[in-house]
Amino acid sequence: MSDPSATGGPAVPVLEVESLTKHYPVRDAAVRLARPRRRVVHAVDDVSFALRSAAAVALVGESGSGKSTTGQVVAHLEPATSGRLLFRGEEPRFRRRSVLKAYRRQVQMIFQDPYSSLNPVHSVAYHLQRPLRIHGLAGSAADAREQAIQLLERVHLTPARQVIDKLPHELSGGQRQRVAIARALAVQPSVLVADEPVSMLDVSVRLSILNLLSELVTHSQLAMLYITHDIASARYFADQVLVMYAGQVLEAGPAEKVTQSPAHPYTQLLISAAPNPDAAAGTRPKMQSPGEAPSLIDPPAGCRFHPRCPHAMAICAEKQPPAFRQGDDHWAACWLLDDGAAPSSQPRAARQASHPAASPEECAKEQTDA
Amino acid sequence: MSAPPLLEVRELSVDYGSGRGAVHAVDRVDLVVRRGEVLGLAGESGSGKSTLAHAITRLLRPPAVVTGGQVRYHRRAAPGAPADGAVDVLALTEAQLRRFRWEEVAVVFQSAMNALNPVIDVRSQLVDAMRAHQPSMGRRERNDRAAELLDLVGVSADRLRSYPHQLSGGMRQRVMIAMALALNPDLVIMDEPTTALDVVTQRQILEQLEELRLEFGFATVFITHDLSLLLDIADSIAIMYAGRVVEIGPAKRVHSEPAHPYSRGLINSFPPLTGPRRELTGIPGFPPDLRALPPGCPFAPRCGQVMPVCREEYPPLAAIDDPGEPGHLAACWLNAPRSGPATEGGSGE
Repeated sequence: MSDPSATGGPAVPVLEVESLTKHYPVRDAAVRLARPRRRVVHAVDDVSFALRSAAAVALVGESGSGKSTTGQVVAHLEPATSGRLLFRGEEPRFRRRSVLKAYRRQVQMIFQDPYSSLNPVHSVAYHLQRPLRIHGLAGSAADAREQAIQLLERVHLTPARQVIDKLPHELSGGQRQRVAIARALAVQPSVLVADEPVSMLDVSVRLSILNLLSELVTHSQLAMLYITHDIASARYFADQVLVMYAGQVLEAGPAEKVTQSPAHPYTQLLISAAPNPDAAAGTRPKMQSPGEAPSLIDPPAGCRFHPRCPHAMAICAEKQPPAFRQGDDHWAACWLLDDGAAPSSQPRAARQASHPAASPEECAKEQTDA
Repeated sequence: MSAPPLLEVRELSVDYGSGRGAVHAVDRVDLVVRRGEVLGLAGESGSGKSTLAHAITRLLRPPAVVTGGQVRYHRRAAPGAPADGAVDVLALTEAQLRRFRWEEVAVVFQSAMNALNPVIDVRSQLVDAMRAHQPSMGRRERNDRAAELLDLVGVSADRLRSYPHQLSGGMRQRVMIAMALALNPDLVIMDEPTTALDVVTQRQILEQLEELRLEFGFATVFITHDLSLLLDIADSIAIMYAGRVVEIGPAKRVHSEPAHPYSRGLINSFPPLTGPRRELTGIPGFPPDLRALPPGCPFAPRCGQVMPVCREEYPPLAAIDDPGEPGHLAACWLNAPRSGPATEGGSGE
């Protein structure tokens, strides 16, 4: 809900990832025997984006699209396989424990399931005071408690003095998620990674949690990475939307642009599939994309969406499409958008030509086109 | 509206436990499902929607007990014969229940992974119900029917030999639907059938279901917490809160003219994908604790239009002033013709 340009957003993003890639080795013995070459799951391939303070970026995709893995790499719960992660313009050297600890203080995470992200045997007070103690932010026990109460008030979990001594099972799902948010805020982070923060909650409390997160983004100048499968909530909540499919970002841009004039056939599919009672009845087009998301061990060559794409062309199966610019900050990786000109000078968030499989051909193509 | 009723639920109540600690999970619910119709049942967790479905199919397990009410099912008349009246589902014997389930009413549960047996292949699970219900069917006939069923739900027949873990979530849910349709039931109860699936898969399955429904003419009770989905697919919608139906009516009316403040709040809880981007408020407060419901309307503590009467007496489910829509009912004092509960017989706890 906040526009970075309106708030005079800083030129340097708080956090940036460039060509982020995460592969997991396949442990299945049968697969390894059959194909001795080391196989990997391409969970995330070549993803780039920037998080700015007081702005929310939504990562939208189906299960298995790599959106959660991306969030985990950003929070450094998982190391990246390759690519760069820049925090305030610098690459943190995570091997040093002090650097990792400082990074954790800056980048906090909110998980999907508030029933498992809180320890059932500890009180709300314990959950909120622990990060304060670990990061040396609380002077005395009384101070820690006072801070915890303030945190609860910040997430509108009142009366805070009563809530603070409760155990997780005494709270409803929405209340637990507020505790989880308060815990993330305890260390005064500058980046919040929220992985499906409302999808486990009752419908009637989802919006209040989204509104709370939105308030934190605006008032506390947080940079937010909002990971979701629900493109409507991404539109509601985020400034920028990135659409992921099979480990790659297929389209990115301002939330309104991506949701109101989607350029990529996959984004169009996602939007047409979402329940939308406001659309006049009977106008819903029939779904034209059969099938399911591809194997990430052996992703399709070329565009990973081409086996399901209703507009697939010969080139789609051969070459990975580069990012085609659709306007300021809005791009999509689809050959349909190739108007014959060379791909636009790569925007910051665009797929870089450094993709190992595509780079030689890509360069050749750019030259011939130019 | 013209279709004859298929299933009638009258004043049905289900408690968990008994005595003073009893939780009224379903509280005097009235519903009618008509032939070939899709009735959407929306509500949050704990609203009683799944308990209601289990009660209708007699699948409740202790400590859940039906404490009152009726479930009547109108059996399809045999060709040429007159309709043979309604069956009292709650009075069926075990043997009668065996016929009632699968042949008359089938259920599709949310968690296909748990509903399918992991150590038996798809074919065996599909033919199991046929073998039990139609012993005259030959082995080859059953296998052919199993292949046909898979084909109907859009799974290729070579999946017959697959085990559940070899199928994707969407395919498992399709197999569940195929099983439900095996014996041509007249009513299919779907308890959150697509909640665990991705939106694209969900949409594909919903479209497939609609095609199947048009082909075979079964009625559906579609249970979900996702009201926006129901507005898309249901003919009529019942909204449950704290064990009660708080509003019921034609889907379009419930969407465009919700009569209960809770329905209005729910509809305003789904950010729109089109139209202006506006601030939404959702519903303040937290879902009710069924163990400690306030007297009067259980939604009163969260309601923005609460009146003194709301905290005293439960409003009756009454027709609202909706011209041309006699089937639109809501349980809210705001819709009472005159503000005065004195004339109403039913009272809260």
